[in-house]
Amino acid sequence: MNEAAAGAEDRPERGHIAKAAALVPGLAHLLEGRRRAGLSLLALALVTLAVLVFAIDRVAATFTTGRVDYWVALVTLIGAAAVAWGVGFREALGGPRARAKGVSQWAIAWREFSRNRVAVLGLYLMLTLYLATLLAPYLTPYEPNTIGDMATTRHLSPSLAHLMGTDKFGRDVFTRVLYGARISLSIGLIAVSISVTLGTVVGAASGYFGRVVDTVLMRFVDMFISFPRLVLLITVIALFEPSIFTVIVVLGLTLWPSTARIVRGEVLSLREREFVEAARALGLSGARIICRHIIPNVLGPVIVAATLGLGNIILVEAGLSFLGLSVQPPTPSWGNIIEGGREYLVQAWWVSTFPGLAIVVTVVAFNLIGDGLRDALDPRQRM
Amino acid sequence: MGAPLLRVEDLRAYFHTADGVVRAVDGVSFSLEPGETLGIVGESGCGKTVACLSILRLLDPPGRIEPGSRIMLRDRELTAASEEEMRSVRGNEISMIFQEPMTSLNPVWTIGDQIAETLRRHRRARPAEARRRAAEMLRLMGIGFPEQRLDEYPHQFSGGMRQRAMLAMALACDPSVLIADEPTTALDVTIQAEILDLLAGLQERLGMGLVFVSHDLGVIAQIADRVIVMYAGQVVESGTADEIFRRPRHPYSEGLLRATPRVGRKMQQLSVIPGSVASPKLWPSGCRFHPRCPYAWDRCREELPVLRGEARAVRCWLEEEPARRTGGWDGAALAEDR
Amino acid sequence: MTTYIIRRLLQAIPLLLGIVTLVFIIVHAAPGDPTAMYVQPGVSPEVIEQMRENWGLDRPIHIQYLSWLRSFLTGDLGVSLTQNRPIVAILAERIPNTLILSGASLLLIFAIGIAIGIVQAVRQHSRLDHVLTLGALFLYSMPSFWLGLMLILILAYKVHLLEWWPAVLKFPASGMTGVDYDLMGGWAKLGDRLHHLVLPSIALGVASAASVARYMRSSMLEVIRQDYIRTARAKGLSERTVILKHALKNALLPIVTLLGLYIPFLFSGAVLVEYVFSWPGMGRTMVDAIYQRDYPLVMATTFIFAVFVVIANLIADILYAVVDPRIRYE
Repeated sequence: MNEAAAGAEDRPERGHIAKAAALVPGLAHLLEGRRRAGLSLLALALVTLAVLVFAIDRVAATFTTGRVDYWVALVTLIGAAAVAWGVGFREALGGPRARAKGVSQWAIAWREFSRNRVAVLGLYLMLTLYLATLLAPYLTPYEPNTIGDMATTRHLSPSLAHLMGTDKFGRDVFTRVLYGARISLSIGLIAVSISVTLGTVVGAASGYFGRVVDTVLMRFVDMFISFPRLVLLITVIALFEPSIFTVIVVLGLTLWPSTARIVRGEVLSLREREFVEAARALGLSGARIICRHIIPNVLGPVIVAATLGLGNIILVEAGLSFLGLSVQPPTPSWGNIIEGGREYLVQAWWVSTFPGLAIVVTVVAFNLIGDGLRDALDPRQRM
Repeated sequence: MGAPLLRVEDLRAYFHTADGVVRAVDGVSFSLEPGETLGIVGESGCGKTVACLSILRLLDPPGRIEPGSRIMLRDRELTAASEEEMRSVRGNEISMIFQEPMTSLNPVWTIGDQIAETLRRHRRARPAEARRRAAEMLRLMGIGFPEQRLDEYPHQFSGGMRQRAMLAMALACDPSVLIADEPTTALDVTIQAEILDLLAGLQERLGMGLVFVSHDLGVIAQIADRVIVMYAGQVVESGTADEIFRRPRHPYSEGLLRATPRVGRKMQQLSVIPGSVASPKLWPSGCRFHPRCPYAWDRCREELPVLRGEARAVRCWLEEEPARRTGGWDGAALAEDR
Repeated sequence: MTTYIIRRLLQAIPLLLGIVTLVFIIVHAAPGDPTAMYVQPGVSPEVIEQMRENWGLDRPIHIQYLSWLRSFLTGDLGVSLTQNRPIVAILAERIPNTLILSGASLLLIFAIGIAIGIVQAVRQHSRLDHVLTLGALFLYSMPSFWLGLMLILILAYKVHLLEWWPAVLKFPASGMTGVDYDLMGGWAKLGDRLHHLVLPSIALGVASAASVARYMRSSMLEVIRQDYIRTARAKGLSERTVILKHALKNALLPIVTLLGLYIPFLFSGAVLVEYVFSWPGMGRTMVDAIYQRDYPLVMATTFIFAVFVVIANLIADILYAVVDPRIRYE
């Protein structure tokens, strides 16, 4: 806050600098000493510029190919530019506003989180990953599934033209890893949403109603947890047809028990607290009390579980694809690229190695964020 | 007479934390003779526990004993001893028992094992021998069926029993000094009395020197021969128990004494010293007690009084200007009431 | 103690019933009726109809459920379609192999995890602590099958090109035994088996070991703050005794409960790792069965895995009671 106050006093003297700063996103932040925000905006602006400069032909191709992912990439690019310049302008022209000191639980949690350097690093990693996924068609000149010339492009080792080399069909591994990220990241996101919702509802009901409901639901959870997760998934997926849809639904339907346990524990302790007692005394219905009073209060631990669960689901999905039980080739996913490279592991190590590294980096990012969130939202579980 | 059993000179124990130096113990001196009981009294936060832990060099970082402090066990300088030497002192020559008998015993080992462990460490006793001696110690502490109870776990013992077990552990190797840090605070009054009797009896029989720390003057009065009163990391008054209780000279001791219930005194006369001990990060200037002192005048705010006297010592400017001792606690208490 | 164990055993019964039921539900929820699994080239419609009758699929669902229960509880897991033998006989060969691999991993997980956790707690905030924390983060974010491939690539293949690399550290890439196993003497056989065990058990265990280290570190840090640790120091015990005797046993309590959580995770990993290393265990059997659409075998392995998890949880509970006297005497 001190910098902001100082900035306000300086305003008349450095007005023209501030105006110039509006053209370069992040400069205004940097002038105010907010280095992290400034550098991120600057980086975002540079990325959009670089894409426009180096991949202008592919951006232009958006209008001719009419493919959905090109349009998604275009929207992402415009969005990124809008964010970079928009926030930059507001900071530079609007001047340092008295940024409201948040006092809500979330503002406190955010402040706590943003102090945690590794967690913020994880957040940047994750944002970069999602950005790269969305911009995929602009970031690589190759197509993920087009089979190359077997004689000239098969098993090329990593080089500037092929950052991660090429596979046995002469396809660029970097491109496939980039497109494969979509599968991993989106399956993770959707499956986690399903399982967290289901887990929260089951856990809340179990904790709130207690007695028979609790016993029955918790036995059910125990039973689910007794199955090695992957074994259960494999069985179910094998009985149905392996496809993205099956995988998402099955992942979503099998990962809820841990969330349910966490929520139940929270609810049990909340149930006896005054505000819930008061709501009950007012004659509110059970469902209403759960939705209005209990769920908002268990949100913190649930968000933490969801973030850590995301990393976990990405690992599980990779395992399923590796076994050929998820997305079917030629559509790339990290797991099936690794499986594809297994046959020629010794001759072309890069095919299996790089997607694995991508998994590790992604899961590390989610774990870092999850740990940071836990420290910020749920201090009791701090490690 | 030769060197005293235990002599502490100018002990300073500071905690070097990120936001400054915490001077928890700031120049404390005292000595202890064999068979003698020294009571250390003061409110919580005055540095009693830190002083005790310092004697055994058990301060956890960032706490440390400052150079220049001296702790002499007979004629050995403990501040200069190696960690190895200190280990042979702890539990062997100087033992210590703690305030919380509930948490001071390891929950996953049997009582017998925990007592025998000391004997095996310091006496190189064989298992059977250590066990026999452990049973003997429990019996000495007044615990029935010691043979059976050796195989029990701490959670099967009541609070008073656990403190007895702690004592058995501490005294197993016949230490010459026992430091008891608020040993009875966590116990019921009746059990408190039993433990005090036990301690007094044991001391008579074993002839050890006892340092007894408490915030409770009543308890100190029952057991101590000599007393030092601590405030804000320093000794403010010392003397025989009799002298301190009959004629306290430091305003803080006076206040403490007034805060202690005594037979023949009506409850409403019981007063509490207004305010609380300041933060050790920022002791008040001048006399550290002046913000709470009913007699304080300009000099107290500016100059730290020195501890005057030998056996009977007081750290107060009133010693030089006795005429200013007027009004005092009654006035202060009145002021509080209004 | 005995009543405690009996109570836990009794609690496991409904759980096992539930598991059988769940497998039943999964089979019946699958598209088509269970005989659809058997519809394959070479199986005539008459045989299928015969099966429907044998299985009693024309009977009401609750009767079917009861007969399903009976066959599972009597240990009759059916016949494998591809191998034409009783599934019980197949699994009897494969189960020990999975247990050997998981056992070796479990040993690795807890030995290494606990040791590293202790070191980190004792040297909290040191550079070593930070390095190990970071390393653990990467290791438990690593897919076991990929780690397996990388280990094969480096320690089984690439090092063969190095003259100076000791032969003991050149590991076999797959299988449980070498080709010349039958010709070896007793000790050589054992050595060969251990040699084959190294890479898969590392691939399977490393992620969990990293996670155990994390829990152990925080558990140990919690314990080190306790009063009884100060008591132990005040007794003049060496730092080694204080940590390894007084702190360790207490810090292990929460770790023992983790055992129950790691077993399912370990079995999941075993499916992938056995596949990567061609390890003839249950996981490998299951994956092969899926590829060959041998559904009765898939169902049976699923069931057996779940039963093992229940047993492992029982063992964890009993172990917990053994380590914690407060439970033993409750």
